[in-house]
Amino acid sequence: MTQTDILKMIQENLISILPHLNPDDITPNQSMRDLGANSIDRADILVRTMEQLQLKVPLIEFATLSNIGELVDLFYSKQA
Amino acid sequence: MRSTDDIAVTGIGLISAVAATLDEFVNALRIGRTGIRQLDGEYSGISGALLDDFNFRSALEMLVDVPEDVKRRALIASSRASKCSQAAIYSAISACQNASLFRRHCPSGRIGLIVAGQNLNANYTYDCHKKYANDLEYLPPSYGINYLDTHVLGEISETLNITGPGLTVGGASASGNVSIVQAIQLLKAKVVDVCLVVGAMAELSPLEIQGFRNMGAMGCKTLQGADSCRPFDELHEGFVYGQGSGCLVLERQDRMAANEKSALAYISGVSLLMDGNRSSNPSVDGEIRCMRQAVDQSGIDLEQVDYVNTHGSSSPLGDETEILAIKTLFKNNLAGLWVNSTKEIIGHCLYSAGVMECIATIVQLSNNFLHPNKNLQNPIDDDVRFVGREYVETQVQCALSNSFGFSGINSSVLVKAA
Repeated sequence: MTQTDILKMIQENLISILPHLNPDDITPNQSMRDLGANSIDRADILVRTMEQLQLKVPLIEFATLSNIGELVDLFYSKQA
Repeated sequence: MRSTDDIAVTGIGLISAVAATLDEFVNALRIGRTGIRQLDGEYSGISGALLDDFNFRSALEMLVDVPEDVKRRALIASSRASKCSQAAIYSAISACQNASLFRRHCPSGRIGLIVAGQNLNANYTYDCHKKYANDLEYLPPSYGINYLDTHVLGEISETLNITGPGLTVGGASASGNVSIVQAIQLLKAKVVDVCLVVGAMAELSPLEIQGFRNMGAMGCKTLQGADSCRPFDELHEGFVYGQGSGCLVLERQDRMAANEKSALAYISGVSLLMDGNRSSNPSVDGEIRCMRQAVDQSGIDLEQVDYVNTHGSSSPLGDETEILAIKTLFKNNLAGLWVNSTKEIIGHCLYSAGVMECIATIVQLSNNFLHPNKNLQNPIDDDVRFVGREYVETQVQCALSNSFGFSGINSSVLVKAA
């Protein structure tokens, strides 16, 4: 998966949880929290993305990330 | 006849297999149109009145006079929610709109919220187990909150900004009436000024369905589809599954006078009594005590009750027990008492049955008719005055709505016409 693919995946997962958002609202420099996702929403998005990518990453590794761009990069780097 | 202590019903809302609006519900009741049909797929082998046509987003869009921010919060609260949550949120919003609550000032901390229902996660848990049992790391984190019945409470509370007391109540098939009893107590104690009672839909998994079938409690043994649910008919075989959610908005009359909102009906007596029995069989004595207590509490004589919206589940033992209880308690007034069962039309909605049938009772009282039971071809009793196969035009003043649940739980609500 490319980074673009992963970003698209995260956008779709975010929209499924916050249906009023559009893909254009979701850019790499924003955080999920900024977009209105609460802590459980964010955890759901992370786990769903992991499932789609067939990755297993301890949730603690996401704790220091500050925006969606960094999230995309982390998932990208974890792919074999 | 009405007392100022009676609690007013100021709003009703529901979603059922036969209706998404009150007008649709009135029409379905009047002609006795059932939502029960033979099922297939994961439910093959049984019949039921399901909410498979229900699209939450479309239904929400169709509601008028609902603030946009309420609709937006509803979409967020329900985004990956079960049908149970969506149905409950929808019926709660509908009832608030019907009660003009969005236009009236009521401090959110003085509004209570009671959700009737238990084991609401049954099918959700079953599906999660099927999907993730071998890969638990991918179980959605939200399972940790969504498996609890209270997640429905939170979703409605967030959507409607209700910050008074909130709780779920369980009473098996009597849950709906139990929630009404609880709401009346909160209102009379002046802990709240307004109380929403929301009956939650039962989303049964294959385990519950098979459990009911193995117990012999569920019908659809020889009859399927529209014929299968036939309360008080000699061919009754057991209850038939229904999905639905209903909401009542309840208020004290002292508060209403200040707000000039008229009541749809009044709840003037409630009862909740157990049989001292852990099994599923009903008790004639328990049902008599229960009905009598609701009537006594409302300050009227037994002879003033002119209609019973029965539990009437189409269970042979249940139907016989309830008829005997009615005949015994109302022996001086059988000729003046009408009897029907709404379960033939909406199915047995289990946890929400009590609320939905209270709504059916109120709708009939307000529209001066009693709905038919089309499948009542050969009644099991000749003394009780069943509404029968055609609707009756009549003005009912005092109605009793019964719900009897497994584990010996009995509950009745006395509704007075406005």
